[in-house]
Amino acid sequence: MGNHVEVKASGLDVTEAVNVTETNIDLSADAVVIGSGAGGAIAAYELAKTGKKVIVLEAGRYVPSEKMTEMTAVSLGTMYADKAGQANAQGDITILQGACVGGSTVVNAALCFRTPDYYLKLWGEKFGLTNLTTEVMTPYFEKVEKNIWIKENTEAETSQGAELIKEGLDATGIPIGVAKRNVKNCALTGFCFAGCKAERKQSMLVTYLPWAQAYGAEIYADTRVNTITSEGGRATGITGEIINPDTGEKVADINVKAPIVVLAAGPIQSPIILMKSGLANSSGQVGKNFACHPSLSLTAEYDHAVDDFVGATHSVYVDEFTLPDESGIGGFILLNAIEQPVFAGSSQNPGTGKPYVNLMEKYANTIRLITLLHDKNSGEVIYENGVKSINYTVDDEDFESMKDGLKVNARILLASGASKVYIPTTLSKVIESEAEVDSVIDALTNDKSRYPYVSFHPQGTLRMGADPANTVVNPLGETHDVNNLYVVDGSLLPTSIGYNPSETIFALASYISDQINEAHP
Amino acid sequence: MNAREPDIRNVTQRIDKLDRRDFLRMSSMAVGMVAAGLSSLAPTAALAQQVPDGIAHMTPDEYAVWHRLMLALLPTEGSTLVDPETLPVLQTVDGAFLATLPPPVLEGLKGGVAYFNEAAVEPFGKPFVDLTNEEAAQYCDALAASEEVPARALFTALKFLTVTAYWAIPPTWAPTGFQGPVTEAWGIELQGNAPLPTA
Repeated sequence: MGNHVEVKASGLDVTEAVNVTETNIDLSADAVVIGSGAGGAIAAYELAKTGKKVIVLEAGRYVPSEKMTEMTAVSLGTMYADKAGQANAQGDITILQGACVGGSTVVNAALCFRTPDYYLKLWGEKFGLTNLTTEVMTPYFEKVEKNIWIKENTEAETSQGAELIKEGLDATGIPIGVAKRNVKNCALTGFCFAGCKAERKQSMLVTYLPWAQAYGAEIYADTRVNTITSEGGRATGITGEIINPDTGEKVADINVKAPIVVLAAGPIQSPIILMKSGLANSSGQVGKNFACHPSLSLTAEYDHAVDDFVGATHSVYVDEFTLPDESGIGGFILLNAIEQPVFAGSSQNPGTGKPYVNLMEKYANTIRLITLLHDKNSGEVIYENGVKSINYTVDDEDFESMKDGLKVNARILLASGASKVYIPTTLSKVIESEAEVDSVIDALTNDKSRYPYVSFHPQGTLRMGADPANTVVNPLGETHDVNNLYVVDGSLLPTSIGYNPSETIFALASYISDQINEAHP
Repeated sequence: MNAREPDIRNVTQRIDKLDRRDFLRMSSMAVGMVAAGLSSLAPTAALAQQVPDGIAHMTPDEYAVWHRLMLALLPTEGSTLVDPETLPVLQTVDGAFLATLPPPVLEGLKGGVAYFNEAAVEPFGKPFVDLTNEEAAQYCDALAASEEVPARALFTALKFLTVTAYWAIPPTWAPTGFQGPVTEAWGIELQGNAPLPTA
């Protein structure tokens, strides 16, 4: 069979709403995969490779690389969930997720970390995931690292801002973490968040999805799954709708009958699909235990132009303070990032009018260093009366960790030569010397709608574990309640892991795909 | 402490004394809820103006508030930044943001815009659209610094929509040094799909 398998040179064959002429589509397959991101694409490939007929359903649109604009505002409106307007119920944490064929892997900055041994051990002890040992998972990490080119940045894969931050890290004696990314021949455009037009980022769009198609998988974009169907305690397929993304009008109903259902719609939509289906919630945990790594970006201003406009979007990180302390309180990770004006232009408010104009005139003199909080799983995704809601706020303990992170962040930036560091509150605080760091940041209070938090890492709403009384998914990836219904996305994570979760999802999806293939040869 | 804070303390105190129920109305937009009995802008001589082409989701009175806010947020005169009056900033707010909102959320936003305008009467004796540049900046800073969550949320949301629309327009980039899209400009070839893995 392998002798006849050929991957398209570029692009995918995708059924989109504009191609659909029927108003009712009935399909059957061996497996239906809901979602085409990090988990769904890997499952689609691994199942299709064994000869299964696989259908992949993606709610977002298909944006082939040649149509990517490298204009962040356009990408936010076409490739992100809710046109990048997804937020917590309070409205003060923007929760960004990809919503396109390839999911968040298309619009993330490709930063990868293996799941820390600390968490694999913790998950074994607290959630009975004794099968997910370092020894078991290491071959899966190695496999995905090889498949999608996860490698440490070369010396050339950096940016002007990252080089300054390295100077600050050297001066403060804080160890430098060099980013590992799933990028092959990085073109250093700095447009990761708008999608990699040059196809250097090894997202699902150019790896596992075309590979799955080489083995016969079919992909439907613009296709929103409403319910998972079941009979006698076994999953039997899905019902859904194909929606024109430009008009919002339904063009067809779609039903897929399949004895294997793989849920990979992401930590916000996956629990909602289960809630709408009335399935897999005997534990009452569907939608609960939401975490999202809220982040705040400090802006450093220098007395000279830095021109931090192009390069590797992420180059350096600091994880010295990431893992929880003795009391179990999580820490933070720092990440440099190239940000375009449309992102950076709204994160700081040094004062209305002239102070803001003055800051943006010096945009070329500024860089940004993100503090990403290792938060608790204290939130909940709910779905009532047709409306989703993400009930989550940064609690007081986590806010203290954020303040610790902001202090380290500010000290690094000042040590790098910054003349000013802007702390993003609704009216930005400005730090001009190391002596001011503690007093300014200690004075911050955990107020709602005070800080422009952005989250890139929702996780944990269908947590995995051995006990059906307090987890949704069993240690092999199948829901406790419904046979042949599997979950392979970030909702699996029993705890927040502090680090970017993409490689954890890649590895878990690979592991669970093996379990599916073993159960369904 | 921010250098502007002493200037706005008085305004902040007066805003914070406003009826909490009014602020709760304002929050309807920020959190995307439907608010009952939202106020609408009463037509006044000061607000009587036409809506330009490309505005489909603002009444003339709402447009006047957005326009005044845009000028307060982006006073580019004397700077290198592009004058927002020469750009379709509010058309972008209208088409890229307002047009995408579900009707109940859009109604909430309209109520927020109305209240944003009216709430300036308490501290300044006139609505936001009639404030001077300095007063408008003080008012916005006071909302931003307010102890009232809905006041902060409302201002932050309106500011976000306005400045994001501004920076979404390519001609705004050159004065910052940001070059815009590069892949085609640099002649970078698309790499295509990866070959099947061996792992």
